[in-house]
Amino acid sequence: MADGHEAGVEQTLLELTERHGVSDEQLARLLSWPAEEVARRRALAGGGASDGETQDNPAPTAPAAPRAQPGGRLDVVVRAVAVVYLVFLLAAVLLYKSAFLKMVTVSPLLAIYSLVVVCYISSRFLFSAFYRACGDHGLEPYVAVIMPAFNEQSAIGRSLRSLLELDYPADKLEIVAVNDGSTDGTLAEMQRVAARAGGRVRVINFANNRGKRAAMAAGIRATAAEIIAFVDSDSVLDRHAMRILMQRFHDPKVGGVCGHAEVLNVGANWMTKMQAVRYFVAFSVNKAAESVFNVVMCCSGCFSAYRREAVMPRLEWWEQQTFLGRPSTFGDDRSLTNCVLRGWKVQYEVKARSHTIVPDNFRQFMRQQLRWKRSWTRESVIAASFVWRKHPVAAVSAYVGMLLPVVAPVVAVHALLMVPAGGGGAPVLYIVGVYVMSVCYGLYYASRKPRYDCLWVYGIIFCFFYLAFLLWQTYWAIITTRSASWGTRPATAGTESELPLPAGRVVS
Amino acid sequence: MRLPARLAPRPAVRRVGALLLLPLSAVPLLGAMPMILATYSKYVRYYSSPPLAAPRNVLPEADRGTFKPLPEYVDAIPVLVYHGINDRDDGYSISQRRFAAQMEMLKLAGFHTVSIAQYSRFQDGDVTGLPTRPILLTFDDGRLDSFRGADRVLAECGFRATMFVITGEIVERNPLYLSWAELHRMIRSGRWDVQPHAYRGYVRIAVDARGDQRPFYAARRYLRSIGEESFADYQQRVAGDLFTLAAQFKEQGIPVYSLSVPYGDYGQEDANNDPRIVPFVLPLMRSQFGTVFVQDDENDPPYTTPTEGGPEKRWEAHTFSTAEQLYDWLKGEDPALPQSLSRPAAAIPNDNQSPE
Repeated sequence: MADGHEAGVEQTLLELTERHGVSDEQLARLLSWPAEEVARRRALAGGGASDGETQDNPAPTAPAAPRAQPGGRLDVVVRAVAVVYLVFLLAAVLLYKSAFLKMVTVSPLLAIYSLVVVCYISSRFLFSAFYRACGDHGLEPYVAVIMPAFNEQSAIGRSLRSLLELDYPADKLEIVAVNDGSTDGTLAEMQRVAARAGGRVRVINFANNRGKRAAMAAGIRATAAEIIAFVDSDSVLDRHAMRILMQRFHDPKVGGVCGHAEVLNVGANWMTKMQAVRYFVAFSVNKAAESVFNVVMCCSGCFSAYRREAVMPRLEWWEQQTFLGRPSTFGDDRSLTNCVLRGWKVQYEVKARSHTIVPDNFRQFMRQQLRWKRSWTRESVIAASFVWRKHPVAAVSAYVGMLLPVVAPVVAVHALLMVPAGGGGAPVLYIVGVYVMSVCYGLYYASRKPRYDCLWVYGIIFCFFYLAFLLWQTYWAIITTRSASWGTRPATAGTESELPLPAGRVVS
Repeated sequence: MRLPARLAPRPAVRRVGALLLLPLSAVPLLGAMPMILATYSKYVRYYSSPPLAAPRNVLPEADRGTFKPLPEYVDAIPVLVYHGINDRDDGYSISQRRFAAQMEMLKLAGFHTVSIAQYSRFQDGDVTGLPTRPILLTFDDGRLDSFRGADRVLAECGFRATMFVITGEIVERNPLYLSWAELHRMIRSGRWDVQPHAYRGYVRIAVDARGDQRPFYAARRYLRSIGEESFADYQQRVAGDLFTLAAQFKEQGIPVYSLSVPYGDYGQEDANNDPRIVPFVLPLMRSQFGTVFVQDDENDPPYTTPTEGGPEKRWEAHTFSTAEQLYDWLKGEDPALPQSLSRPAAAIPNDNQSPE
């Protein structure tokens, strides 16, 4: 049944996208399947036509919780090879660094930077090795999922319905849909779902557009739920994800939990494959490492939850946040995490999986990254003011993590342009360093995925993509941190409002 | 009902290709390996070749008493020349232990080293500021092992030395020789002076059809194609090398007071040499560099005195030269001592093999 495993994974995607309301054509594009194949599988999956109406009453054949499918024997061997290779590379890098330790006195900038990078990256891997998924504590707190929407009439219904299908006691899961002054049928769509949900969906309506944060804040205020959860309208959850995420709250000091995010449209093209590896490493290495010290710096908007008690004291501030005199319109997730992180533990749960759609073209991706970097700049300044009170290791990591992206472009210019110009030899060693780092990320991905395929190589591509494009955004992002431009919408849509349409979302 | 969909089996080729990516990803790393190793050896050479610690207890207690202070003088300066400091038995290299023993002996005997600038003033007849019992330590060739072996020993004795460098080796980045950066660091330490030895001129060249060889500066060259070069060609070749050498020092901003002649031979060693060579090259060397240093055939030169440019003869250390032999030479040539009293027959001449 080797094929069965693979089919299982992709079947899951199929089900998820089906629940999420993606059309057959879009699914074919996302997964790089021919349209007939999609139709065939949809038929096999028992879903029939992707008509939202049919899903209002979940059939007994509701999709099973997607699980990581075990690979074949060959996969096990290959993954073991990847692990050995990875460990060997990390050891080789450490050996290399110790052999050249004295370079610190000879060429301080390059040497100290690369030493810090190596320590930082290996410490991420090291700490993440101590990360443990949370066990089941039988916790089922009262949860409210807040879902703001602006002009999303075509997707909002399915997004809401997919939340209703979660494996969570119906009387403990409330959904608050906030219509942020949409000019299309979004409100009607919300009300239609609410009417059939037996009171589980509450609809809040703004007559005028007030912005995403205002909508989210209104949603939070409208509910008395103990836990406030956020799910991107681009993201779908595994059926058990909400329940798993809640288990983290058994520690009364935990104020926020970030779920895991996988890339849903991984098959679309090389951009999304690249991001798949990147997401995986960002979550299961970086966030896991941060979680070990209870200092997760950003609870991704894809899927996260906060203790109401932790959010409320700073809710007003968060809603009205300004930075250098301008309202902060995006980066609501990182900002909210910061609010909670001050006084609470913030953790990450690897088993609470969401699947999100990422940008599949260069332009959208770059804009999304610029936005993230801007909010990263803003929130880093804020986090820097209190992170020192956290666990010393986490604090040092956080400050190093803030500093590296700022120094990196200088070092890259120095290594790639200035050193060769000054006759100091080719930049080969710098490139080799980036390559080793990228192979390490790729190998980590390969070793953690049950089924071995060539996807991990996109980790290498990502690192060089980063070097070529993303690295240089940092300063522009810092300079334009105040900018409130969302940047992902066509100029003609600028008249609407600042309400974010997350980059890469599929508009059906 | 919910049976997993049967996938069209992917081509096995694709699977194999994915597997091959693992070893393939190592190819760039293996490709970069030679470069990394080369970088490492260069790194070790330039950044991890610190001076060696000075050896301890190099002079037995019994010997220390024999090296009594010699009388004071200021009108003559003995000059010593070393080549390399290592454990090879090549005739010219000396072990660090022996070198350290000689330095300690010099200290016991009351010597004070002088800088090349001081020595140059002395050559001009100016003895102001000279320490009592002055001595000039020199090293030929500009070798890394000389610096590594000598530096800490000199520091412990409070001595300084002059390094005569072959700039051709620096240009070629020969890892066994000191680089300009290292030479500048040495100058800044105040323990070292850097002076010219040769540019490309530290080679032997064929001088006849039989293949006999003479030093580059010392004779007219023989080439199979054109036979013996003309004197004009000789002049051009030698002057060109010396002018380049002078220009290199000027470019480095290092003041020049002297030249150590490669092989100690500017043409004077061969009686049958072209008689125009010595009268041409010696004044050229003096005019470009100042004092000209050579070795002594018997390795028993007198202390140097002002001669307006030399050639000044130096006592040459050999692989088996001992502190005692050096002391005996210093004592034997001491201008303040009656020669009859100071020349124990046993110690002179040096019992080493003759140079080269």
